[in-house]
Amino acid sequence: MAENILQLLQTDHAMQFIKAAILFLFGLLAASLVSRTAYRLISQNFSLHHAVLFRRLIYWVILALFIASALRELGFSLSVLLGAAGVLSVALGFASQTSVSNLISGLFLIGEKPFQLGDTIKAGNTTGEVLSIDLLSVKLRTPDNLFVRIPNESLIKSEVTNLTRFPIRRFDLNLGVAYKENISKVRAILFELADKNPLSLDEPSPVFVFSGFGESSLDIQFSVWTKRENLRDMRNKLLEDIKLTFDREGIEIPYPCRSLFTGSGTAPLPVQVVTSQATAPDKNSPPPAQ
Amino acid sequence: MTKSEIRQKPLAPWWHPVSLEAESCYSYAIGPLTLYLKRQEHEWQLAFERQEENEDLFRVLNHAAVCMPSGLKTHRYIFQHSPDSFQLKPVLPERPLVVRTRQPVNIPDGGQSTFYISCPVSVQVTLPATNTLLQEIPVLRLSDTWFGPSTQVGELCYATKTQARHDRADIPLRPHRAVTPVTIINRSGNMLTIEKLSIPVPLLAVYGAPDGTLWTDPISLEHDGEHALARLTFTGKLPAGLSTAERLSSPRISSGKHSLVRAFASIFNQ
Repeated sequence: MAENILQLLQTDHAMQFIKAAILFLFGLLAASLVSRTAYRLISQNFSLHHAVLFRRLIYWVILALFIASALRELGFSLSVLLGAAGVLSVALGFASQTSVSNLISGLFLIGEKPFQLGDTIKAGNTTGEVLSIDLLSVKLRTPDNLFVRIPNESLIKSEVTNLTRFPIRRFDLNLGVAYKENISKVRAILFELADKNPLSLDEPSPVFVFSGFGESSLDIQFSVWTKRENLRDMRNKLLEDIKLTFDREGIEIPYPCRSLFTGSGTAPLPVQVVTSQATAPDKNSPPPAQ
Repeated sequence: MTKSEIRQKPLAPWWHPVSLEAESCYSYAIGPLTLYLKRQEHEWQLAFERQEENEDLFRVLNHAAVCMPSGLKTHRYIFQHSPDSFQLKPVLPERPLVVRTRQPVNIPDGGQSTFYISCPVSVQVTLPATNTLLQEIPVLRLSDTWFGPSTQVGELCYATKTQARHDRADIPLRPHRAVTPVTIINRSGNMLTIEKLSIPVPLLAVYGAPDGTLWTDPISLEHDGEHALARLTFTGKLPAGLSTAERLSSPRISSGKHSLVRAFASIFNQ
């Protein structure tokens, strides 16, 4: 038995196998070592995301080279293998079009850096914090704590809003006041409220735009700047203050109203005055007790 | 006590330690801010309220209180054995202060001028025995503002208005505002118009004068017209009657003797 094994080992085939195995194992070791060292060097100067990407890339390239050498050692012809791989990749490419398109989009996203980990973005109808930017998709956490996966392709194709790129934001309030109101008084009140609100920025100062004569109100746009984290608190406080102050000052925020005309050729609409004594008993009221 | 009576009352330094028996309360009013403290065997309690509309109530009132007022949010700090004294410490805000002059101030080329600009302080409530900081409370909640050439470049600051007083004698005695003597030097070759000025208060230390007023390190801001940033220098000369021994708090951010800061807004907005 031992002799048989010895004989087998002495054959060329066995030596080839052993060499190939050693090459493969050495490849694993080298790939892991080099990629880890590169990761450490890169993570000092680049973002975490780029470092992870480079680590994976270096690992797989080195491993692929060693696997190719091991295969050559085993007697495979590399040109034939590569040719076969080419045909296979065309077939695979057709089959996995979506994945490949996502992959390429992912590479563009990583290069372009429209947002980073931790930013809050709005893509389509989804708003959320970026948890990870991967090769195929971007993962978001929405404010109501849902996990959303958005394919990179759709992010590349459509509009993406980064809500946390700049430190300050503007809140645009659209409101209408009744036609009878004094617009300069309304303007003075709005500016005073913004000035009193510590969360609204003094500079850039609030903007008052009298945007037009609406159907039932004078339309106003009042824009106030705030620190981006304070947007919701500022909006709540400002709207509450406006409502309270308008109520106190007797400024009316009108409902949509309609005036009815029956046309110039017709008689006025008939109006009947109903006094309380003449009111007929309600049909729905219960009959009096017997 | 009426407002005018309070105004006539001389200021007193409020930054000295105060000892408190167990199970007793104390109240401290510094300008618009009123603090309530209570010491128990194993805990300290702290509550505060502000009268922001009465910012001109330049008063320091301190007296033993009967008990903690109800209706205020009280913080409790638990100790094995509660330290027996507390100390209040004035510190400057953590962001620069942008002051808007009530009228634009012009300084001709080659001129220099000193203004006295005051900044509301924050009160740090500390227990000196264990060096514990209980809480930091701004005397006034200042409005946020943005200071920079655009909405992308710049920094968040606090905003206030100033009379840009020239003479030290004109400064009202206020217990809750630290006064910074700012010397502005114009070497730009043009008239320098100042409507807004950013004072880098996180770089300044606070000093307490015996008369109960607060001061900071004096600074000078030099505008040479070539750079967008102004050269900030600590002149080191404290106002008369003050010495470094009266330093109450260190700067939040330490800096060298010279540095460049974004100080003048009108230069960028032209």
